[in-house]
Amino acid sequence: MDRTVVLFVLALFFSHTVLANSGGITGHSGQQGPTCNDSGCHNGSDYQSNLSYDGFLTAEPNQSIDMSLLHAFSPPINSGMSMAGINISVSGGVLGQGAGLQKQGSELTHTFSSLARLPDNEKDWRFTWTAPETAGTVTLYACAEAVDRTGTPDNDDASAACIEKSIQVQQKTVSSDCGDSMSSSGCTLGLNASESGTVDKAGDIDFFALSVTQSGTLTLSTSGSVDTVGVFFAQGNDQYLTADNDSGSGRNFSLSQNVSPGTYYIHVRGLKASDLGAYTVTSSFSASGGSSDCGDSMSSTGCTLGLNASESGTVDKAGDIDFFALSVTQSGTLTLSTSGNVDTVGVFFAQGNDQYLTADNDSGTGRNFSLSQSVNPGTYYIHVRGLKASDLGAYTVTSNFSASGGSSDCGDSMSSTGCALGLNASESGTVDKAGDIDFFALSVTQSGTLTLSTSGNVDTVGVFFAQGNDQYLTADNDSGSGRNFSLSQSVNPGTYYIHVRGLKASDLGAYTVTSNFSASGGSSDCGDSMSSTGCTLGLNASESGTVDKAGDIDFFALSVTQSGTLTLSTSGNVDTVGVFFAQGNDQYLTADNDSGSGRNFSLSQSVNPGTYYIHVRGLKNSDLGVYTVTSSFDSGAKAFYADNVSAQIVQSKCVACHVQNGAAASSRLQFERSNVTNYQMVNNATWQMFLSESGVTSDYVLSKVQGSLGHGGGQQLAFGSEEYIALGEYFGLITGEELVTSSKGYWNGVGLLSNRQTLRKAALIFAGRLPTDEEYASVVDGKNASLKTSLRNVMQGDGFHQFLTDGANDKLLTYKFFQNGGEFLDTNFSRLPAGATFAFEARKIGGEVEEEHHRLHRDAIRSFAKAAPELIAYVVENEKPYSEILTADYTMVNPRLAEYYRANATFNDPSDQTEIIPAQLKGFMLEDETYTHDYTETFGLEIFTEGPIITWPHAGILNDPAFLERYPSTATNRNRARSRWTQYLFLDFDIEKSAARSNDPDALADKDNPTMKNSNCTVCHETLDPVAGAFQNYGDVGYYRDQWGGKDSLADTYKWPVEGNSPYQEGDTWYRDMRAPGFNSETVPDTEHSLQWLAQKIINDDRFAVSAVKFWWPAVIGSAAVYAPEVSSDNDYESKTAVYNAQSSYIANVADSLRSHMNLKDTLVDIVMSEWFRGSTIAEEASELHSSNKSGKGRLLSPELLDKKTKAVFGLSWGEEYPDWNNFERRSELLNTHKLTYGGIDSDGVISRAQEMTSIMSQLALTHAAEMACEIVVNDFILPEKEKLLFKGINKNSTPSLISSKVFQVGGYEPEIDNTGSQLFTSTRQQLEKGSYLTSVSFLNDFWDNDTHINTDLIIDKLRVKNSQNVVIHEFQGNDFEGLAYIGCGGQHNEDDFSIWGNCSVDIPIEIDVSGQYSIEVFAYQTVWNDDGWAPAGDYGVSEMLVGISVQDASSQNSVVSELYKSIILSLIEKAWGEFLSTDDPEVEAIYQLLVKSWESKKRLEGMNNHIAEDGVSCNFPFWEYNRPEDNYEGWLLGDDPQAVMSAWRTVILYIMTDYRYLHE
Amino acid sequence: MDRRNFIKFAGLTSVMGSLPTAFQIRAGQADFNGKFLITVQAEGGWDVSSLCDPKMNVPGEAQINHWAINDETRTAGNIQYAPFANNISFFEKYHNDMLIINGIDSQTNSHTAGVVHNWSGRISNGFPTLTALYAASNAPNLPISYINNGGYAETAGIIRYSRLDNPDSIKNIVEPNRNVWNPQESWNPERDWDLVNATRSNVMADKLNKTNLTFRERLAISNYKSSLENASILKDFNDGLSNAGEFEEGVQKTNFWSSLKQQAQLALIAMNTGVAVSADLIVGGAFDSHQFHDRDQEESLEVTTDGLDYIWEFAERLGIADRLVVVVNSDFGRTPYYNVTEGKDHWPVGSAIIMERNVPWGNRTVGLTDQEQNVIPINPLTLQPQENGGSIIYPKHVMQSLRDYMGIGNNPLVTPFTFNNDETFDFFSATKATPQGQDVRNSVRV
Repeated sequence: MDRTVVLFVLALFFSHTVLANSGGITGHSGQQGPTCNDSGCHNGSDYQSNLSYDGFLTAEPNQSIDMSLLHAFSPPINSGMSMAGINISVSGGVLGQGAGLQKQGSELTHTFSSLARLPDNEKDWRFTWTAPETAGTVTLYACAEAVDRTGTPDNDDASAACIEKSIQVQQKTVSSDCGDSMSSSGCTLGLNASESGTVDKAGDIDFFALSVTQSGTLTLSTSGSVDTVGVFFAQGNDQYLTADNDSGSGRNFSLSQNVSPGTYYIHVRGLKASDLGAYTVTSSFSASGGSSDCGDSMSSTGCTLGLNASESGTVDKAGDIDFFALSVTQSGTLTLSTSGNVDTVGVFFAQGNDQYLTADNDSGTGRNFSLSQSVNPGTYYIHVRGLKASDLGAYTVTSNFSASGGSSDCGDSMSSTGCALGLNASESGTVDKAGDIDFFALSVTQSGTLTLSTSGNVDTVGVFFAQGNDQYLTADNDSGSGRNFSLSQSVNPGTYYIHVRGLKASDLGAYTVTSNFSASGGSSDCGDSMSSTGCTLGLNASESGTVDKAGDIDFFALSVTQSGTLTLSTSGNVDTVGVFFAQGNDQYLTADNDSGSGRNFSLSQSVNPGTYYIHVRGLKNSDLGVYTVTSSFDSGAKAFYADNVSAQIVQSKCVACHVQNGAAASSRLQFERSNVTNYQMVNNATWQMFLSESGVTSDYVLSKVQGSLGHGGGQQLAFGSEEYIALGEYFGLITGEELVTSSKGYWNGVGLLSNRQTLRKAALIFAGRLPTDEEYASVVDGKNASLKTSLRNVMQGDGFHQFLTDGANDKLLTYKFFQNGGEFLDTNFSRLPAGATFAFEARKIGGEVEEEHHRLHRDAIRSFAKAAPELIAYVVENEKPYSEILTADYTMVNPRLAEYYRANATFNDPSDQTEIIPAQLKGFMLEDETYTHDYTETFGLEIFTEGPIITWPHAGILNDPAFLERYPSTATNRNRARSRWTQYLFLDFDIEKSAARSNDPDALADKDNPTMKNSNCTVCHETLDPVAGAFQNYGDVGYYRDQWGGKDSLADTYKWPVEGNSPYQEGDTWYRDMRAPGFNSETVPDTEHSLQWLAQKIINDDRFAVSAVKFWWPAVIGSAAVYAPEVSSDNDYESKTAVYNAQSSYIANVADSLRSHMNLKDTLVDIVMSEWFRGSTIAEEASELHSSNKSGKGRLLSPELLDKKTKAVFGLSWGEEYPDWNNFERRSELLNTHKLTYGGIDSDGVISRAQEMTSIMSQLALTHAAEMACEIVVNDFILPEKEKLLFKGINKNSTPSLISSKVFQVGGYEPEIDNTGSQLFTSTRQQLEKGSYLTSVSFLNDFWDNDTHINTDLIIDKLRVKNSQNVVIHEFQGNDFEGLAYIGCGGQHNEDDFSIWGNCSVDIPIEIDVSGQYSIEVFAYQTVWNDDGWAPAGDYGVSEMLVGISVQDASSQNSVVSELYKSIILSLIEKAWGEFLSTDDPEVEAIYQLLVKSWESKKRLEGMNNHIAEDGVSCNFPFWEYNRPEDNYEGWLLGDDPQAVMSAWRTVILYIMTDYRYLHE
Repeated sequence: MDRRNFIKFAGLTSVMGSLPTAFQIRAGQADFNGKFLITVQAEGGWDVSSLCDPKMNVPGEAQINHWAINDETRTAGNIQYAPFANNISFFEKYHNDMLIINGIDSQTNSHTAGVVHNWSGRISNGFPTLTALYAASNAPNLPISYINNGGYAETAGIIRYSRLDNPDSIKNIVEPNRNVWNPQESWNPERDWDLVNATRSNVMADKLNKTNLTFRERLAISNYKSSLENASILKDFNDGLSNAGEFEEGVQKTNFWSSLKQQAQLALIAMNTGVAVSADLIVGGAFDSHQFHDRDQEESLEVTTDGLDYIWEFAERLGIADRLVVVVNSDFGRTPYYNVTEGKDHWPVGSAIIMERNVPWGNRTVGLTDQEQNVIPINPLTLQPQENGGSIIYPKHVMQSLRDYMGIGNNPLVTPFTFNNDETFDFFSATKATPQGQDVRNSVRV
């Protein structure tokens, strides 16, 4: 139409008499009475107008709702194109104009411009209405008039369409009759029973649970006037089974489903929002296996129905289902129907029960069904049943098969022909018979939204599939114009199918199907394709969205990582509907329309971890606009927090610092204390927000609470502790993570020391000795209890005492004062008048007395330096509560220190300065005017009258004088160092390491008392300073109240500053410009006893036990308890974290035990029993996890431990002595000379022990063994057999090859010139097996007198071997030896004898051809010489000759002695290395071979090398100590080694002592 | 680099790979011909305003230094210094051989944190010392490659450190089988000694092939084996000790005893005899001068500068002075004012001194503090003061530059300990320096 024509038409309207009405009319809605029908404003024929209302019938006060009035009419054929107008009014509330409407007064009427032609003969009027404030009933009145376009009242609709609708204005009720939450209450519907229900509001879904106990068919239906929809689920929300709308009577649903035993749910709702009201839902159950004529079990008998054939059947009872199998061999259309009087229902399946295809009730004749289905070759099943329980009787079921290529316009087989529908195109189609389904394939090449709709007069239904039949996507009936469908779906590239069919069997005829495709990326805010873009909605988050066009569906993906309840809702003015899916499109979960505020939806659903989708769309096509969708996820964290975290952790731990104005006020994490309203809610929210912050993870927080990552508060929770696990679980509820909160599994793959090995290692460490045989025997049962008992038993004696004192000093470091005693013990100061006077008297006398005084004073110094470690040892050894180390009202003194202290102690031996016992310091002097004295350079301090003498107010170690002086103070330090070390040692808190460090230069440079005022400083000083204050009575050195008059220990510079005023007031004992003495938030109540008070606070603090375990950890394990890793990006952070977690968890457990019994011995046992002590092997796969675990086997022994071990294993220590100049206290090379070189500490400048061997240390270790090996061997060889530690059962003649031997006394010297005087010496008989042997003759006691030059030799005349028959089988003359034998030292004598002139052997090889008993005969005599030749006759004693038989090759042939040797080696390995092997172990064999090699090489030495200290070799054995002047015996002879046996063992000892296993444990 | 990649990178794929490369036994040890590195750790927090960042007093304000009452800042070459302790002779003698870095913000007043920060470059624990990195990168198998006599000694597992403070003990053990009282004799026959050594070595090699050792036991074997195998040249060290003449005596001061010279003597002998490449020497002075500041700092600085002088003199005597780099630093600085007990408390801003002979970067000062001893940011490249947009020198910058200067910045062993530096200061420029400001306290009174 061109512009001129339009103007003309408009001109016609304006000139007409009804011109006024063309602009709208009021007062004719019916509210006031008259309508156009009454007033006759239009004449003509009856247009059969109908006005229907679509909208809510309930509303809340002031709620604005959308309304729609559909005016449909049928004008006379000759009336031409029609137009329509309307008048709308309400009895209450306020109308809002919509499209084509205007407001006149309170009413609405059409606008002139709305008078458009209506080719479809209908007009949809949309408007809004806002309910009044008060509840009540409001009536909507409307009258609509259809008119022709003549501009006259004539030929218009003579009967205007009017409507009155009552709308209930009421407060929103939440009491849905059957709940809306499947998992909670809901209703129950029995089988074959009915329940009443009410769809009481738009979106209400009632559900009913049905419990089925046997297989059968369940039929569910409603009755009543409400148009209901039923959706049937199995087991839960997730398992959708079937649904129905109108298969029941009227607009009720009726559905049937074969079911197995289980619980099912029927969801009942109104079809549209306006479908409200009461209904009755009925269940009818028919069990399987009844007397059905065609069976009830598809898999068994049933009936067969041929194609194009009929079968008779009977519905013979309520619920009976007959089924018939049909075999189809080609594609085509199968039509199945019944005939007869029974109201039958047919349900058609493919292949099996599961593949439902279609169903029908009444499309056939009468009440019979008739259904058609496109089929491919295969087997199909038609289920026939009565519609209702009462529908019983006989029927005939008939099949008609029409092969493909028939008359159906678009085929019925998806896999074959069908039709294609282009995008943004239309195709015509025809529902040409009942059950006809036309399908159209659409090919989509990009993601977007596909809208499919039909137009035409047929009531069509559209079902949309992806890819194939199986992937149902969506469906629609009437969303299009008239009774056409219109559906939209987000799609990805692929092929889709729209199935078009008539709604009912009678809905036949032509239609046009149209596709509209909108590619993604357009104006849709959140895409329409679930698998592609879309939007993401976080948990507990909101997103904006827009329903920007009709059919727009926004979807949001939610990722849920843990189980919980998800609530989704919208806000805004758009009437939204939310549909909630799990995993994908297919798994519908729930939906809602208006449960939220206004017209917004709100739905809740229990969810498990996974991805979910909320689809948001407008309720109607006109519902467009912006909304906000919000998710709220509740994992149960809130409740868990209240029960397990709030009081236990946050209020008891965190709020000490993480509160406003707290020490951690600058932290991002701030809590509320419990005195704040809703503190739990706030703190729970705080955690949730904190965990969502950038860079914050659960692991981050869990590391912090353990003290990792530089947590300012240090460790608050131990890994694996109950609280830690609870916090981890709580975080898991918030984040969905599964957090590792215990160290189980850390030790997988780790092997442990056996009980014997554990006991041995522990005994060396604890007692400095090896276990006794009895102790070993007590643990062989392998039981932990046995081991614990034995471990407990080794904790005694001097060794244990040394373990305790050394271990304690490693931490306390008071041995620093071993050299000079520090100021506290300086006798030129006045605080110990007894000591001062003692020194003065000595100096006054001078000379030796003064020198003696120096020596005696050293006794006091040693006791002073040792007091604190001795105190701990005393407490532990006497099994007193370990807390007594801080609460003891005594110190430890030896007799000398007792004098200084006036301690009134009673000693067993007052002269024994090594005796140290508990006593009180009763002789400490304060200084005031009563104290008079003099000081001279010559004599030092002389006290005339003493000041006030007090008894030291002991507080265990805390005010041990050496401890106080070890950590001295200054006027500005003000005991902070003491505080720091006290907390480090006894509260497991290293304020320097773990303190949050300020990097604010202004704060660090703050001069205005920053420790009190600047939060960068207070973070530490809040903790540090009160404890410092508790030391208020102790001055810089450690003197009690060192200021004049003993009033306090405050610095003069504080009390009387040179400039300015001091806050000091008379009587103060602490600084007023510091925090008050106290602990945590408590203040010291009693100035006099503040340290005792502090001690009580410390021992009652949970950390005390933890600190105690860590205090002793290095002494037992050999490495300090690991500190929390600080930087997560470090390459070893993972392994360090693993070891820290496991270790801190174990320590926490041990600490728990200690807290309960306070017995340190038990704690030491606990540590030893752990993998940390006993770990000995580790599987390869676990090695990386343990790559920062420096515990278990392989501990480098400290010099002290190596010293003790050597003493324990070999009976000697390197350079052990008790010199008088050292007050007869023990010294050794390792403890003194080389202590620092070997990684020890001096408790002063060097305070950390070496953990790893260095080259210099390795050389020291070698030196240690090199110097000692000979000494150890000789020392043991010379002991009586019973006293031997090492070489039991052997002597110097026990060569490794020896089978048997006998020593003979060759005496009776007479000067001779030939062998006629030789004597026969016959060995005992020995069984010899066939083989090679050595017969040997050894001279054992060669004699040489240095003064007289008398020399003795042993002369062999001949040697014979005889068998058991006394037959000589070998005979060797002396002069044969040199050609036959190995000769240690000797040579031919005379013509046919052989002379042995040193302590060595002659070995003659022999062959034994026949096994048997053999003996050796030796003809020998001795000669004695001097410088002139034969010595004159005299009493020269006798020569000792050994005659033996040996195996020829000791390295490969066993002998009695070789077995003995191996058992000795075995024993040495056990003692020295802690390895319990067998004699056939390669390790034993290797050492034996080493011994043999050493032995053989020594034996083959030429010259005078028959002493263990052979030429060029020293032996550190003190031979001279064994000289006996009374009989001229030389101790040196103890080193004689005629058979090289001792030398060989020296090599073994050297090897064992230098193996890494000896130097490590 | 995460641990897995670290191992892969290091070529360690077997179980033995769980040990750092420094503990792997290598055949032979190439002679080390590079520079020697010595750090001198002044423990307790030195007062740099009485040393290399001198400050004078301003009438009417709190005195910063008593020495400045009657004296004034001096200049040696281009370097300003305080005429305190033995500074005059020290700076006059060595100013051409030193780079001063002032205004290093250690970001803490805690000793522990300050030590960790200044000597590792990171305030959190875990990063090794420069000296450890240098030794591990250059000569991990020397018997005492890295000497640490106390102070900060973190090695992060890449190398072991040796203490070297008792020459007598060392002389007695460098030839373990030799009878020290009768050197002509051995404690055990050499044939047995060799037999034992061979047996032990074989057994340890076999043990290391086992896959089920604890980390600690494997470490123990590796350490011991490499220690023994690398120890042979300790004899050279012993010869060096024997030829050194008298060992330097320790120095007793009012509140401390220092063995700095003897530490230096031993370290330099070790370096000269080819057994060491880096050393941390300790001045266990009385730098933590909360009271009696002037006395304690004077004595401590005197010991320090005398010790430094000794280092260079002795290195010269040994002929290795041209190969020596010395870095001197402390925990942090001390307050720009005295407290009521004439002490000075902790102050986060300090300085470092880097020394080397005949270098183009000597005779320079980089970095700046104001009259209150606060850091003035500088431009990292021009080194000029830049109040707005300039950068503050942190220990990580000093450490990174030193790593680069010593040639180990890109060494794979160093990679796991990378700093998060945003900028690099051109500390070792031959031409640029930071003017020491016009603040009255910084000005040179003429």
